[in-house]
Amino acid sequence: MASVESLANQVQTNLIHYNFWTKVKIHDINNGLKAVIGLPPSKLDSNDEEDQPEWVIPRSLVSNSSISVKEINEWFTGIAILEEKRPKRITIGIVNDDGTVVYYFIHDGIVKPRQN
Amino acid sequence: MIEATGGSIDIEESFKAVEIDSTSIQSNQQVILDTTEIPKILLPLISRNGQPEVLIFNVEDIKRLRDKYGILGILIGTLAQYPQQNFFLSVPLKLFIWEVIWLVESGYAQLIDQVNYRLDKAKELQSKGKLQNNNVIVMTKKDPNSKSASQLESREANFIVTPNTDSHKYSKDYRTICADDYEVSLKDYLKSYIESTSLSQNQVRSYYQNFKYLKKQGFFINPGLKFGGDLVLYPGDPLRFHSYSIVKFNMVDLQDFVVGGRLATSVKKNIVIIGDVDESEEDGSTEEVNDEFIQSLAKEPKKMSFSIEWSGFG
Repeated sequence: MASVESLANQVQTNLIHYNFWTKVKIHDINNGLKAVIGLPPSKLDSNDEEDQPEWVIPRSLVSNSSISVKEINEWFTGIAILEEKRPKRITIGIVNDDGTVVYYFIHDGIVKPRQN
Repeated sequence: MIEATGGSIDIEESFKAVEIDSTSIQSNQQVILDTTEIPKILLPLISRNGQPEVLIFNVEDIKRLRDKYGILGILIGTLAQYPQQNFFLSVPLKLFIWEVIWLVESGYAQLIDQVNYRLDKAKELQSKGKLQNNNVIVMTKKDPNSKSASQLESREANFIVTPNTDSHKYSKDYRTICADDYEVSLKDYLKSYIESTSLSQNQVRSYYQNFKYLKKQGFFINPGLKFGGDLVLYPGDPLRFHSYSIVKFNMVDLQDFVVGGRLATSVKKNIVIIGDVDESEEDGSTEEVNDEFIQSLAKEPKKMSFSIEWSGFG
């Protein structure tokens, strides 16, 4: 079973070398949880600001696949403590045991979907 | 208990309603606003195999539900003129459970035991000989030996047309019958609903509170199974807006998260998950549908929500 530490490292590596993110760092947030922050090579959403850093929460699909609204809220409050502001959006990095990492946006509240 | 004649009359009315120009719609709304006390909408309850359903035939009620309360329901009847298609449907309008609870709990509508109400109405009309149509059916077997010319007269009409518009008051036609006498309580409705489904009381309450939470934010809501969810949200009337979000009530697994998020993004939507702010809310478990349970439905929902979509990278 992958530790929280190695999970965060795996997401960090994937972001840097597969998705070409820069300034990717790992932070500790509440309850021993790790969060990764970095700069994507281009804006992730057309409404984003230039050089807007993105928070990524690493999660393992295999070792603990359950998720709850309460848990997601804790990620938001955890990052709010570091940033002094509750973020509008975070990203979850879901790590599978076959080397795949997938990323999903989680917006706070009900928002309009992106226009692709 | 669904009569064919009533249905076709309503279809014509609904076409007329579409043709009304904008000025008359405005004056209509004026009339509604001027009325100090609006009578509650009657929700005809039909129990089929113990599963309660609300089916509305009255076009005026359907308009009021949509324009005033943002309640959409689903039209499930065939258009008599176009029976080969099912893209545009007609009355009756079927309401789903959360809409029914919301309407009754908000005091906009009341449930009526439609089966007994209509039977009694028909009986009263019949007893007074008030048959309003010319549907003539031969009741007596034709006697081949008889050549009587009076046979036509021995025929008896066996259809009784009762109007779709139901009344809160006793009227000229119905001196002893009014819809209010057939009211069904929300408690009885939910009791038979829960018996006919696999949902528990607590799930019903929690899901209803989700619906109420979304309704309060002004969304128009449709059932969501078509998109693999529990509800679909529209920012305004679905005739004018595309839906934005698929709502999932019970998102507990990351696998669902990936599947749902990917599907929603591919149809230009996102997934909305809703949960209780305070998880002890769910602990107030009751074993039966009692008054306490009904009162707990009216509580202000304490919910939080998140929207999920595919990030576009990775």
